[in-house]
Amino acid sequence: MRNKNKLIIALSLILCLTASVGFTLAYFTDYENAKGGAVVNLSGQTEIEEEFDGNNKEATITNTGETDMVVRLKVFGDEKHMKENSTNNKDWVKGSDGFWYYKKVLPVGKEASMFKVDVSGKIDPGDPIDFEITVVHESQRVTYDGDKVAIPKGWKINSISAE
Amino acid sequence: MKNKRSKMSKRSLVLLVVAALFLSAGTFAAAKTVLDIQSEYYRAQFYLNHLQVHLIENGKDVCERAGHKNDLDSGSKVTGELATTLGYDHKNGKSEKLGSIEPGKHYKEEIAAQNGSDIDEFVRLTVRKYWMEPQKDADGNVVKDENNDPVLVKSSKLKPSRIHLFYKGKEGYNSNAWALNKKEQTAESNTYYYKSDLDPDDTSALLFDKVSIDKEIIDLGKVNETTETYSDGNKTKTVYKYEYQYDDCVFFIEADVQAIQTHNINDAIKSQWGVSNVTAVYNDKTESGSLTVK
Repeated sequence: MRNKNKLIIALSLILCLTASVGFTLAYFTDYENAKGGAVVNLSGQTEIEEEFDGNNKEATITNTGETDMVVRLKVFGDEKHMKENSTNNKDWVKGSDGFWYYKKVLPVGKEASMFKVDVSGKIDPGDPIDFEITVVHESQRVTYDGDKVAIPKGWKINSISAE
Repeated sequence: MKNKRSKMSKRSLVLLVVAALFLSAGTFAAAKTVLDIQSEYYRAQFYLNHLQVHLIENGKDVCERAGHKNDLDSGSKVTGELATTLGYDHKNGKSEKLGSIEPGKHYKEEIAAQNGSDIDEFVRLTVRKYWMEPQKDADGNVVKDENNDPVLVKSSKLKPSRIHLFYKGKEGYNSNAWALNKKEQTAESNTYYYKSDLDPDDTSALLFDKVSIDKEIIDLGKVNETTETYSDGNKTKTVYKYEYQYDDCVFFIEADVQAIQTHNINDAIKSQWGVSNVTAVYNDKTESGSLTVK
């Protein structure tokens, strides 16, 4: 009986002490949490429209996708009968690999300045010849190095303007 | 047996008498006090300080708590939305759309903590980064459904490390003011401790200032290129379409700021934050302290 009483007293003391410990562990704290996310669109789409009016070959590239693009093109044909130069194509610059690079990023929905291949004055009207000019274009989704436009791997251009 | 009962009765009687005497004496004493003197009226007042912390992004509290100091909402968790990563920036107090997120481009993401309470506090910030992608059908096409919640990206290539955080032009955090606890480090999250206490209303030094998505993301997966050509007399039109594997993936940044009292700081850190390699000292007289991550 005595042991039982002692046990009850001991348990009561432990209960009281435990309750005190609980209070001392209740420290002041506070916290806030926030989350944000954004979709990263990567895929792109461009169109090139070529037109030959008898004197010139004209190529217009349009960004018809949902992401900004960088573009380049190359002209294949008989070099004796065509002339590509930077006078006609101020927004384009020729790289050491023969590609013509558009100097600016091509924004969504916008057209790049027309690229002209001059074939007039090279052909004798009295002695017409049959040759073909092919314009091949390549585009890539624009990426950046910080605030500068990143040059895609293998592209031979020093810089592309973001505007 | 009878004797014992008799003894117990006597003992009880004695105790009863003693108790009655004590009671009477107490009554007299009380009566005497009341008659003798009226004590002065003392008034004691206790203030229950509270602790509050705010998560600051680009100079703005992102959680927009209903009240500030006057609300005793210590210990409550408030959830907000990080603005920059949602494609918005705060300028002149207004939200302005940034446009699409460009891989490799650095976007303003100034993260800090602010003491919103009236007592000093120590703070820590946990930042979690991860990728999610839209649910796709068996053919790999995105399921067009309003309830199509994104799921975690399982690819081993599109890792959280493809989301970069910067401070002053270099990838990383502001190590002058914050300490990284490597023991809490995971592939997705890092926890940073502010090296000194934060005074009431003070804002910490920035933890990060820019965020960026790895530009290599376009080279990680397969690219599906399709070409279609249309001719009309002298005109030829060719459409080039590029589809990247990780198109429409969503990157997330989650920030969690936590504050703790300065008193009994080391016990509080162990108890509330559950870390044993973080210690702090706080001087009540100078009201300043420092924190160390071992």
